This record gives sequence, structure tokens and C-alpha cells, in this order.
Amino acid sequence: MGRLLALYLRCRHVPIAGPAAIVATVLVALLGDNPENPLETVDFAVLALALGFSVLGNGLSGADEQLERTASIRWPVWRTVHVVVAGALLFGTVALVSHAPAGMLLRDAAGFAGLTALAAALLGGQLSWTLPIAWAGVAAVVPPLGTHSVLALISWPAQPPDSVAAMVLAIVLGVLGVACYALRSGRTHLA
Amino acid sequence: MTGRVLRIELRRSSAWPTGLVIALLGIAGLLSLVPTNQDGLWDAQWTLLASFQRIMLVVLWPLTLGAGAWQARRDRRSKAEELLGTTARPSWRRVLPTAFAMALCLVVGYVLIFAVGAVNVAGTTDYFSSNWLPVALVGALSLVAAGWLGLGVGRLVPSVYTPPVLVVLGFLVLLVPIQLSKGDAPGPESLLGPGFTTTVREFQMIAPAVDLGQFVWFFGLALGGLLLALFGRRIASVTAVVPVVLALIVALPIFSAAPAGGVQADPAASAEVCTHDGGPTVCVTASHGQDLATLVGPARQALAALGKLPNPPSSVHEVPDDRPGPQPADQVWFDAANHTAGQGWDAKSGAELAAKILAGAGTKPCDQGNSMDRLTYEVRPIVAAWLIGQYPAPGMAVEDPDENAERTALWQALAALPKAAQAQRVAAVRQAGLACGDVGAALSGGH
Repeated sequence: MGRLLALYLRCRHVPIAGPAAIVATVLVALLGDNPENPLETVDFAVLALALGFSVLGNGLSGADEQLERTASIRWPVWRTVHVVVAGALLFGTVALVSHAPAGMLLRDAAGFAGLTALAAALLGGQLSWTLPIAWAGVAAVVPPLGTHSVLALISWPAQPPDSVAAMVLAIVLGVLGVACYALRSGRTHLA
Repeated sequence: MTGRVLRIELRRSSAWPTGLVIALLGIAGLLSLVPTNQDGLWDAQWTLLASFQRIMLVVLWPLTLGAGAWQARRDRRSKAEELLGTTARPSWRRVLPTAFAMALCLVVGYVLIFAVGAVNVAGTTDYFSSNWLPVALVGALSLVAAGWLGLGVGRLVPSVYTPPVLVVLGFLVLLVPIQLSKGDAPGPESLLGPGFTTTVREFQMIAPAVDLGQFVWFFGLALGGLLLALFGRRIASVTAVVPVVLALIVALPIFSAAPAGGVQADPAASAEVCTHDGGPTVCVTASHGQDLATLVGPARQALAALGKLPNPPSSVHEVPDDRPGPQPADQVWFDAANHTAGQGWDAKSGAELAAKILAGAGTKPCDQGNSMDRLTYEVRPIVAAWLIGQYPAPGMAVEDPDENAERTALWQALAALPKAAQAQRVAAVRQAGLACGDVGAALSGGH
């Protein structure tokens, strides 16, 4: 089991990507962490989370999926645990350094984990950054104008922690993304 | 030969998916404002559409940066880098068609967004000026600059992590001017970003100096990105710095010639379009020219009602907020804010529109928006009701019982006076309105 875990972590680029993701996340979160400007704090925390996921997301597909398929391992369980642990790690990192509300960070970590896994399943690990970063960027720049449901959904990562619509969307994205990835795995080739 | 390579690149590279994603995101951005009824932010006028599209670049620009960096890794990703390195052609000959395919698709994507918005704008306004053209041109150029810069950085740092890191960096760099603009007025350096930090209003345009400076800046940036992409990791890529720095040196002084924020009044949009049919003159701003016909009838009713006063005005003019006063005594000024793009005048019927024109006895409030004091706000409809001879005036009933009681008290005080004194009071309100004086005191007879 220990040897299997070590091999798994290595083929998922965790020894390099893990520390790199944490450093990048901490840097971005600290850069905008300003207790006097909650909006700025939230925007930067959201981008920090998305950056962390996109660095870890490259490891969501292995070098050769067909070869991996032949191993007698319960892949769906491994893949699910992989995404969940990545999400927990990044949530913990940002929650430690940023003044953004913890409930919001937890929700965003769940949603981004799903988006990363979804992009990995659809486009491959190397493009798994596209969905979380695009959505985080949109949320960071869409001004929190009014409370119309369309705008609230578009900018869900930056909504306050008690927003029901944002919470529901994050859970849906999280479950959908992890399920897709667990069942389909990451595409390996996309030239 | 080059044409064939370019065609293959257009078909097979990530250029067209990138252009497509940019177009779809931009169109979604435009349409996302429709359900919240905020589409007036872009569909009221051509300049507004072009500058709103620029505001959306705050999202599209970083993503394009990432797309360029992704494209730059293609050879390595498909493990063909060494093989291609053995060919007897310099690597820049291979990069050039890729870069042009990417630029072409980005421009097409940008134009597509504008085209979708243009359908709405064409249905809303007849006013057309070419102010939007440089704004859109600079936007498309800035997108090309982002694509080439991404391509260049991707060739310089060919890591799998380059595209996402570059996108986040792009977002952070573009967020800084937005954060800054929430505090003090943004300096000229904020104009170096592809988007604008403020929305442009209907009677405004982007200052030509800003268009020129931004064109120079993004041209330099695009050239720098292209040089970086062509030379990759070789020493010659240092030359990429030259056009960028030169563009910066040229652009910054040009920006300082423009007003802060880069926005100025558009005299052509607020120019007057008038009736010439022999009746009393009614004028609207060029920007609302298509709704002149619906204003003429109510405006002439209003002029007839104002005939009860001594020295009555003889013409109605729709005026934007920035028209310098004082309002001439022989004119009725009607605030352009009573118009909604795509829907026309904010009144359900001609009678309501006439009542709006008569508010304050045909004067435009001197303090704008929320700063209008409560008494002025209440006196204006009272005067309109007296001129029409019906209280409350059409469309001016209020829900709030307290406010209604206050207004009714004002109305009854006016109605209790002898006829001649009533006309005198209303004329005094008009005088006070023209001179930006105390309208409330004029109605109550004080001074």
C-alpha cells in the first residue's frame, strides 16, 4: 500500500506540484489580504484557490490511461480521494493565511475541485485549469451589482457565505465534476 | 506556400477554438445584462457597445494570454520538438503562421461579439457616429497583443504550468487598476490596461488621445510578444523589450493630454435635432433623434399649458446633464435622463410625458440626481399639476402616504389662493428654477 501510494503520488506530479501549489496559493492570497478591504481579500482568495487547483490539476491525468486501466486498483475511489484531498489541502492553506470567510472558502474549494475535475475529464489534466481559473477570474471582476440571481450565479465564488444559490451551485459543480472524473478519468492526449 | 501553412494552422491549431471561446464568453457577457435590464449599459449607442466590450476585456484578455501560452507548447506536447528541430528551417518560420492564425481568429472573435451587440444597438438608436471605431480597433489589437505575448512567454518558459500562472497573473495585473479606481481618480497608467475602469455614458466618448496612446502601446506590446515568440529562448529575444519600452515612452505622454479617466463629452451625441414644421420648435439630442416624433405632441401641449404664465417659453429642448446653464427664459428644458434606450421616453402616455415636461414649470433641476432636495422634488409635480389643471398630474401620484400628505398640503395651499396669485406663484417657481434658486420658497411666496 505504501509503495503503491508513493508511485501514485509520483505519477501525479505531487512531489513538485504539491509544494508549488501551496507556495503559489499562499503568495496570491497574501498579496490581496487586506482586512480593511473585504472585497479585495475575497477576490484574491478566490484567485489563489483557483491557481492552486490549476497547479494540482495537471496531475489529474497520468502518463498513459490505458496502461493504468489494467491495474487491479479501484480507480474511482483513488481518483475521488485524490480530488477531495487536493481540495481539503488548498482550503486549509487559504483559510490559514487569508481573512476571507472560512465558509466561503470551503464552498469555493468544493466548487473549484469539481470544476478542475470536470475540465480534466473533458479536456485532460493539462487543460484542467481552464474552468476554475476562468470562473474565478469572472467572479473577481464582476462587480457585486445588485442581487439578481443571474449575476449571483455568474459570480458565485465571490458571493457571501450565506448565499443559497452559490452554495447549491458549488455543491452541484463539486459532485458533478468529481463523479465525471472518477468514472471517466482524465484524458491524456490533447494536442 | 505560406498561404497553405496558414490554412493548415487555421484548421488544426488551437487558434480557432480560442477565437470561438472568446466570442462565446463575450456574447454571454453582453447577454447576461439583458435579464437584469442593465443592457442600457451597452445597447444605447455604438460608442457604449464598443467601450463595454473593452470593459469585458478584463476577463477575455488574461484568458487569451493563457491560450497563447498553451499554443506555444504544442510541439513539445506532441513530442515533435526534437524532430522539428532537425529541419533545415529557422524556428521563426514555423512560429509566424501560427501567430498570424491566432491573431486572425482573435480578431474574428472580437468582431463577432461586436456584431451580436450591433443587432441590438441598431434597433435602439438612429444616431451613428464613427467614435466607436477606434475603440473597437484598439480592443481587437489588444487581444492580438495578449495572444502574441502569451505565445512569447510560452516559448520562453515552456512549462505545463505557464498557461494557468500567466492567466492568474493577467487577472491580478488587470485587477489592480480596478481596485485603485475605487479610491482616488486613476492616473494615466491605468489607461495601459486593455479595458476601461469606468462605463461610458450616452453623451460621452473615449478621448481621441486615449485611443491613439492605447493603439501605440498595444502595437508595441504585440510586436514585443511576436519577437519573443519568434526567437524563443535565444539571446535575440532580448530585442522584444525594445518595442514595448518605446511604446510605453510614447504612450504615457499622449495619455496625459486626455482628461482623467479618458472619457470626454461627445458634442455630436448631444447636438440638437429639431422640428421644422412651422409649429413651436421641439428639439431632442441627436442620440435620441428617433424618438423626436413621440415627443412633439406632448411638448406642444406643455407649451400651450405654459401659455397661462406671463412671458411663456416658446420651445422645448431635451438637454443632457452636462449642458451648461443658465436655462434661457424662452425655452423649456427637459432632462435627457427621462429617456431609456430602446424604450423611448419614460412615460406611459402622452399626458404623462407632457406632465413630466411641465415639472418645475418646464425647468430642469439644477442639482442632479439624488442631491435634489426633498422640497424641490415635491414642488416640481405640484406646478405641473397646476399647469395641467389636474391634481395629481398624470403619472405623478405617489404611493407613500406621508409624502402624499405633504404634497396634498402644498397643492391645497396653492389652490386656496386667488387665481391671479396662483399664476404669480407658478411663474415665480419657473423664475427660481431658471436661476437655480429656492423653488420651495417661490411656491410658498417667501423669498
